[in-house]
Amino acid sequence: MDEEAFLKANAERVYNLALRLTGNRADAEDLAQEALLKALKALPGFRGDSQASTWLHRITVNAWKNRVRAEKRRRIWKLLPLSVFSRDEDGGEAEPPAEDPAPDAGLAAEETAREVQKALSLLEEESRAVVVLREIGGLSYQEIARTLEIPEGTVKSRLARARDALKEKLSAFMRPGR
Amino acid sequence: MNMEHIRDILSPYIDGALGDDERSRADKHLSSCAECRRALEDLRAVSKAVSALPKEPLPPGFLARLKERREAPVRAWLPAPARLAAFAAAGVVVAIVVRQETRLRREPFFAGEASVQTQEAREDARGPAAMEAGIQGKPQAKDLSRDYSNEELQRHLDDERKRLGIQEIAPKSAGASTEQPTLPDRPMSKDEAMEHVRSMGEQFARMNRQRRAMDAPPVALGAAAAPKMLSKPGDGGSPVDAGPASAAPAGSLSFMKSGGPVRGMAYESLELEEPEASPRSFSGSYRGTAPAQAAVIRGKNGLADLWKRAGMRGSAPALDFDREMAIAVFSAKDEGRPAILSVVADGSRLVVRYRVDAAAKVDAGAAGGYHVVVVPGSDLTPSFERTR
Repeated sequence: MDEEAFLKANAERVYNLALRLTGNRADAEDLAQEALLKALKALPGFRGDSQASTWLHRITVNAWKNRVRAEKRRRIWKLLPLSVFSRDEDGGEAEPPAEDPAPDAGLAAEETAREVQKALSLLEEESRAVVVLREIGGLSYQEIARTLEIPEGTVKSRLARARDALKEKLSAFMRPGR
Repeated sequence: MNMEHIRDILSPYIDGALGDDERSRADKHLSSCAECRRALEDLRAVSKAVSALPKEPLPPGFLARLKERREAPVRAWLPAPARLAAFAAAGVVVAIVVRQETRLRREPFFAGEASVQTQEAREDARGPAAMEAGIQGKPQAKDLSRDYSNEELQRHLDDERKRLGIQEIAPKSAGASTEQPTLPDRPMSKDEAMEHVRSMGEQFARMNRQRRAMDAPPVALGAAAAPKMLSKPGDGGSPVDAGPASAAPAGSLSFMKSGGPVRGMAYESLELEEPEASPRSFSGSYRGTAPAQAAVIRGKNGLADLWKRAGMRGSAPALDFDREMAIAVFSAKDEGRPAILSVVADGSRLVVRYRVDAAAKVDAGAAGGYHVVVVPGSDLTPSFERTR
């Protein structure tokens, strides 16, 4: 496959997966580049799109897991934008106007995204990978199983657990007053 | 089935990943169970919330940087196994590895950018292919039937180092001990040489520690004040266990007093919550431009680095990172000063509540404010929450 076509087809996708795994743009770029570099190297050996994309997902997740492990081991510190963790309410944004088309959302879309990303970032790595591949990557259970090299049953149970955890973290925010 | 809720299969249900039988049973149950219907709705909302996260375009320059990275030379930090084999014949392999290892470990502290550039420049000039195959000349075969004097070994070592292009150790920090561990100058058996090499490794490690300490001299801190609870138990979770070694009562979160010469200390916000609390905390203004940021620092080098990078005054405070860690919050430009209000363990998270006081101005010319607090060490995942 032509390299340029490969990048065009995959770079943005990998970047978005990386963004949701790492939770911030700087790490996402680094991770996406690492994965794409590896993929480009191996590109001539691939027979088709589907094989390449499974493999690309796999190296993205594995590279991310390696980083997380290394960071834990080396107890690396880093500065992260606070928006990764928090809902900044004083950012000069006005309250949503009363005629907001989604009154039950109660929060601006940007804030929703921040809150969801924060909940995602608090998931265990294994769970986060499954959720991101399913919800961001749009992979089927079978594809996730192939990508992560785990049984399909494990995908099912991990995803269910992760969603429960997300529900808990987001409950106050998604259904105010409950 | 009716009274048996189907929570367990709701997740695959929304993904359409159930078999036909299971699916029709689930449908049947859902039609008569309001509780499960509500759980299903919730789950769908969660799934939708994640999948609706905005897709972002590639950052500007992403592909150009990718290309750059691709063309960057591959670094061959350690000799390849085949080359190592040649060393092994002479029995000096371990010494090289120790030296190499030492150089790598020391580089961040001594060599700085200059030596890294040198390394890269050299690799550039030779090209990655030259690096791979690249070695001029062949390793000298050594006769294993006799012992070598240390001088001979050292000479061989130097030759090999030159041949492999291993860099010399960068200059030491001023004032650091100049004494390098050396091998005794007499013939040795292989076992004895190995033992020396091991102890040299330890000496290098010790020297590294000393030099690191000199790079970040400790700041004297005053006596620890009585620890104070910054949050009531049950209010947002159980506080961090300060550990048996700490003076803090079990279950409480302790902040300690700082009497050190770190300038710009401000306790306003903490005093509001708990008038007698005297946290070990540092706040002030930083230079440079940055968005609002936060960090959890679990090691000395990280703290020194943070101090330097943020252009904070003075040296980083001395912390006992076996028991403590530092949490830092930086406000965005022109936002006012941040203040960490509480640090509380909540399940697997460490919730750091802070606020930014717009009325508290940062110093003229500074980009924003920072607040660093020292808390008992914890492996929990931090979560920063801003309050008003």
